[in-house]
Amino acid sequence: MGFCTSGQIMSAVAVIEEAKAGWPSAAAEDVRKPFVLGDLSKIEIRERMSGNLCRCACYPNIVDAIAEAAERN
Amino acid sequence: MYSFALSTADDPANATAAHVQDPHLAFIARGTDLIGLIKDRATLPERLLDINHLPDMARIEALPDGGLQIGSLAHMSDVAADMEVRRRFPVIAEALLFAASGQLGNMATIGGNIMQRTRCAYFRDEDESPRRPGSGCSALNGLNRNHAIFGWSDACVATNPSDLAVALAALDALVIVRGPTGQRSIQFTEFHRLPGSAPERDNVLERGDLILAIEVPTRAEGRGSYYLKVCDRQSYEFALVSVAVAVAADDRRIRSARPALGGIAHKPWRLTASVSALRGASLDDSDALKSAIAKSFADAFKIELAQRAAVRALQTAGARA
Repeated sequence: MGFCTSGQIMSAVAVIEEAKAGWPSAAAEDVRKPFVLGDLSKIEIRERMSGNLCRCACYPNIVDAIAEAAERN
Repeated sequence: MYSFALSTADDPANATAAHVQDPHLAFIARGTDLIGLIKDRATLPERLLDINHLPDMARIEALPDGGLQIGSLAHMSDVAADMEVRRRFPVIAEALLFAASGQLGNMATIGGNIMQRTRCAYFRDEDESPRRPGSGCSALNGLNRNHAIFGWSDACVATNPSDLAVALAALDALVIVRGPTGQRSIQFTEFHRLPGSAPERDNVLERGDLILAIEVPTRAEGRGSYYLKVCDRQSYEFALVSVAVAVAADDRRIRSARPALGGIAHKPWRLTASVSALRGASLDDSDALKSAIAKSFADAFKIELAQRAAVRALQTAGARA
């Protein structure tokens, strides 16, 4: 366990930074609209984190942790 | 062991000259496709010329006339996040967002994206024999579920994997190239080529050609544009079929529409035969839209017809057995 954690954290930090900078993702309903941190739903987090594999399948907890960290921002 | 020499280009003219003189030299930007190809032994350049430091090639410029100029070294993520790109040509931002994960988008460049090579499993196989020009197409009677339905040849049935390319074809973009004899523009729809008998040539670039920028001309259809990607998996996957379309409409009636398909040919496939039938069609009349699109698939009805005929023949013959 823990083999993917460093990569998940690196990506999670970038996901929050990019959301704060107003970057859209493929989960956006309309890319023409500005994106704000408050739009970072769990669907958005899942899309933005895709490509980071966890073989223990801890995805729900990873998504929850990112959502919580984003809220504190 | 394979090894290569790496040097850095400081000037486009020198880069072009080096590429002409040395057939074993390849340009490298961020290498998100090239390094993968090298790992697969699909290409083994002896020398790499790093073009990342060439000046003024990473700019994203919103032109005063409504068009757009995107430097070939601009990163996919930066282009997708650019508010002017998103407002003027949402199809470009969407194609980029659906193309890759965040990590890849932050690395990969626009020029590299349209230069990426096919994902055909035989082309990327460690065994180099299916790649050798003239060896024929292993996918023709092999794993070809995701391969071309238009424009293929006996030599190759592979598809072009770029999402961005489909959007740029729909928008009639231009590829600005610096070559040994100076600068020129190539129509995006003419940039990629069909395989014919030379499938190893993906595009019309010659030795020494360096992509400087992509130019997207202003057009009424830009703002009403959209990219739809259909894949086996929702995220981080190549298209089975994708559609880039730009529409100008008044009161939900099409004034002009420019659809292009991805995932079905060696290059982005424009549905030119449908353009005139789409003019004047109501956005709410799905049957009219379907029949306009069907004009680009004139013989497609035969696929269903052939299957039904085969089933009926099986049953009739079986009853006689």
